[in-house]
Amino acid sequence: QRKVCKKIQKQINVRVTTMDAELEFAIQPSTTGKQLFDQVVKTVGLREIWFFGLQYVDSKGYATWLKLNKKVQQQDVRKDAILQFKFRAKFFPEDVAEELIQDITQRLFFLQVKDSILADETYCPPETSVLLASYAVQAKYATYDPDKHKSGYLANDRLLPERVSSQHKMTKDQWEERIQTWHAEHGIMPREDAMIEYLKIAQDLEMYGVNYFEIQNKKKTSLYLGVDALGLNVYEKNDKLTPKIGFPWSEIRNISFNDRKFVIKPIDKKAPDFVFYVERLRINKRILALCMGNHELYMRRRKPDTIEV
Amino acid sequence: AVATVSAALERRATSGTYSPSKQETSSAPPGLGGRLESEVWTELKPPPPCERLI
Repeated sequence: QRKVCKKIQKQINVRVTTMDAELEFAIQPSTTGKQLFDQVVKTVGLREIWFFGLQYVDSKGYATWLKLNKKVQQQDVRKDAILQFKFRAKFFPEDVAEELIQDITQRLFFLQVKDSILADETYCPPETSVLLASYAVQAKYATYDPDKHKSGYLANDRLLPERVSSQHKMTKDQWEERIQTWHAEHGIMPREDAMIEYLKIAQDLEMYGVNYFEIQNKKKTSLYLGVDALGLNVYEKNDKLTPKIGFPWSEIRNISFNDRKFVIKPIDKKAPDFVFYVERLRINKRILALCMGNHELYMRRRKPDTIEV
Repeated sequence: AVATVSAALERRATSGTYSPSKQETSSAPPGLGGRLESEVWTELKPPPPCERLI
């Protein structure tokens, strides 16, 4: 049942990659971000949609979240033969075990977080990396079975961050042996549980779920601003793990930007405003949008359940 | 009037503000809420009506 359009509109081909699938759609010049997003979540059967967004690389080379209330075509998407989007988690739960209900949501988070750890975007200490690898192995191979999982069964798997496997005096076989030992420990743990166990450990890593932005303070010192589920943090350039200043949501009166300048005003009138600068106005827009989305979810989690009578 | 509109648009385009503290509901209990109810969450963004893109 094709809709009859009054005007013949030129169709635009769109490719959306999720963490484990590739989807292709044809959209109209009038299609909004929300219409495309809805189509994606319907196709993959995802209902916990509030964590996710569609990401693309804009004409300046920045990774950008597609705005849902605007037409896809009117955003700064590169006009290639096929428009490319990544369907990714944009917001992270405060507690995966509490908040991620659907299998598909858990799987998409697991794959995205694992990718980020293996790519060294989320720092993970060596011991933790091995334990996480063993849960990933459980999720892939299920119960360890010495008859099936002969020596070398992990040879083709990407298991550890490069930084970990290269900094220690251990051979690839030795690493695999350690991971295999842990794999056996997990017994008959179901795959889904292994993914959740993985996420439970990962969510305690300092860099998990933090969006980092390069900023400069008034003194022109380069710093990082981190936006996450609980608020804003400022980090020194050489240490993304330990915040120098923290602004939890409950302590922020308001945040605002004007062009490249951004101001965080604390509720405490005696505390000084924190002022910083970014390279481009669009980065400030992105920071504010992430703040609003994260804060909205933060409040939702703390809303008392309304009892319907 | 036209000038005012464009100035406003420009202002909107280059600045923005958000007040987390004003958004807080006074009735919200301190600390963590209970398990998130799927129904509550679904209210946030009701399931979309079926839309055909093609």
